[in-house]
Amino acid sequence: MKRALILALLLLLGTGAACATVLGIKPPGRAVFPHRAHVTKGIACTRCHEGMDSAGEDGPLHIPDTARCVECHVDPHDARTCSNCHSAELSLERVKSAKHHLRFEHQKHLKEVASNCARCHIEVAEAGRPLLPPMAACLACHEHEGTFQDASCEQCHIDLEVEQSRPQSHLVHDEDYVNRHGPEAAASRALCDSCHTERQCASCHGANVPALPQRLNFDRPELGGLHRAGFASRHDREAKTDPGLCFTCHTETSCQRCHEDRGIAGANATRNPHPAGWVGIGQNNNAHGAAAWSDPASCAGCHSGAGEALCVNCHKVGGVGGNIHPPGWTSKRSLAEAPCRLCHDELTP
Amino acid sequence: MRRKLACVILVASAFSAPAYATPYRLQGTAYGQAQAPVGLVSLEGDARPTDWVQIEALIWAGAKELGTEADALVAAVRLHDPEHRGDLWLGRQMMTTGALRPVHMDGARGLVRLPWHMTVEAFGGLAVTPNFKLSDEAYDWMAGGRIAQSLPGWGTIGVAYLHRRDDGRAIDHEVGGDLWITPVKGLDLTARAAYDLQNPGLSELIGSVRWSASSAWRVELLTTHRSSARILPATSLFSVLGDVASQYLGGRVRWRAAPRLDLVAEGGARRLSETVVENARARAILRLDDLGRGVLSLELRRQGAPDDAGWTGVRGTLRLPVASKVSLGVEAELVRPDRPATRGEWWPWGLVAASFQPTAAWDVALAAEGSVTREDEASFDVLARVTYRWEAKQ
Repeated sequence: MKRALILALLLLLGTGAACATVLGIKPPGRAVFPHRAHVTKGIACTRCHEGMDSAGEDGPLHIPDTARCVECHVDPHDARTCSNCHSAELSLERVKSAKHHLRFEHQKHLKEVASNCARCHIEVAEAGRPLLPPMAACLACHEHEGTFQDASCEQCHIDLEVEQSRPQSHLVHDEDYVNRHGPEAAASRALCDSCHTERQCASCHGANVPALPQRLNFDRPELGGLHRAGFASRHDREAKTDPGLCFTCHTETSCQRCHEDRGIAGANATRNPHPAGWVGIGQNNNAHGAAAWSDPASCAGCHSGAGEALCVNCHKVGGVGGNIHPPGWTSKRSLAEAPCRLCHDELTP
Repeated sequence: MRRKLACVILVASAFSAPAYATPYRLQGTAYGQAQAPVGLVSLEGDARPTDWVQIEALIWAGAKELGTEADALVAAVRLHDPEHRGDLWLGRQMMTTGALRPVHMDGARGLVRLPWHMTVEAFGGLAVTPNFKLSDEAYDWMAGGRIAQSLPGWGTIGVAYLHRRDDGRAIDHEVGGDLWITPVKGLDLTARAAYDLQNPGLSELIGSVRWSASSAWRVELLTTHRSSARILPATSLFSVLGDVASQYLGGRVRWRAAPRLDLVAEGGARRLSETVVENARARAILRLDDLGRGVLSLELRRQGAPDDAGWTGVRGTLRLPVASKVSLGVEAELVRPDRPATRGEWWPWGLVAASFQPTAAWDVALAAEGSVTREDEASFDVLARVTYRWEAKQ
């Protein structure tokens, strides 16, 4: 019994440790460097990061190597490179990325803050936190209202289109940013342009898109998108859910081109997408009327242009199909103009 | 006219990029799939020859079941005042100004920054038609603009106007308003609304309020109003079927439960002409390493729709680096429709992909995709993509 309890406890601990590793609570085999422990011992930052006080825009990262560590830690527990374990991979990648993509000189900044590194590296007081300052730390001193207004990010960011850093404090591009990107782009297109190219907008919204980005990036299933997975097989249902949404990007011709290619519409059509009882004479055999009133955009997807003649044949004034306008319909349009003139003789309102 | 403009820009981009080059980039992609068969080749590039010039283009050629076609998705030059007093874009580009929906245009767009944080934008040109096809009466121009006022420390508000004609007839005549305000730290309000002047009424409204309670919690409320008859061109017969707007109200919560685990819950209701339908989604995203190179996700979704066209589905994805230059991707979806109609009760879809980056320049991917088609028959496809990137700096 006692042995079973010990086994169960060990299993629980093992599972907990494995979960902590998977969830990122405990980094597997690597730890964030204990800066706090060194700072509280009164060790100056430049003792390890030698040369930082004279570092310009170019040059090395000034990350200490093993030789620097063993100057103090004279009896290391392991003969291998210290940073293999005592540094977080993410922190190191961020530092490399910042060095490559940002215009920044430690030399200038250290003079301004009287060599107080913690003024920007504010997380140094928290044990185990990555030290790369967030952009908010820059904004604490630098006035950036004008920079945002002008979208002149190149003052600090060398090439944001390549850097592809996602802002953490503003414009958060997280899961389902698609809901918000329209209004935000509408309000501040210039700010979007500072990171994004015309091609990125046009790759979804363009009138002549050859294939959507999620189709071309089929090997990256983690990417978001409105048309992922089996969207093609349920797109008619998605369109029903939000009438008109499709037409905020697509035109009627987009539907027609695709449907004609697949033999669903046009002269070569071999299939009828409508159910039985769609068009007929009488209330019980005429489902298309109610469907058209609730979602006219869906009809336009196939029957616009020359296809409108299908409707006009029955619904023109005096035709067997009756009035297509809903009760109370009024319009300021002239009967002589399209589309009114299709059904109305100018003399018969 | 359009062909000449595209040619001038492409020639300009081809010859001016290498001269100064800080930096210039080219990317070629070939994509093919076994079914149909379908093939696509695209070539894209951009360059910044000087501080005030940026050039960008993407051209493509494709083969499909019924023939081949080629087109330019983007071919534009941006002239940019280094003092940030204004910008001018010329060529084939996307227009997104204020409340107006994105429009693909061959033309010009200019922006001037005035004192007191005010900006004025204006644009004019021809709507892009696939394969440079023009109608017999090529009077399909569009023009418009936007005036915006930035409120330092708060956000931006703007008003915009669009007039668009097709074959000489007005098909869009809209005004709109937009705002993006951050009244307090962590709280974001964005909205845009478009009003149809031809057939007076609200054509579209999108509003979102987002509150970032902490780095772990984020809450969003979203509302939309969309009148599909007003979004259609005013010359369409289907624009006279009345104002059949749909309205949506929903919310979303994201919780970073652990450094590598995000949990997302979303729900809302949409009012269609005479019915209300539901929308609900729950998603878990687990990053398999600190850099997010490996990702595992699971999503449950319920989508209501009129006429029993709703469905319930589950979707899972996995991206796993299996070696330093090789990744594996798996995506699977299973949907159960409320009313299967002529199809089976379950609609499965799946894809297995592998990608290989032998160098920073090359990217090769191959996938197998399978699903059950609308006719309840099994469908299988093979997809392939090869990409080469080239970048140079002065």
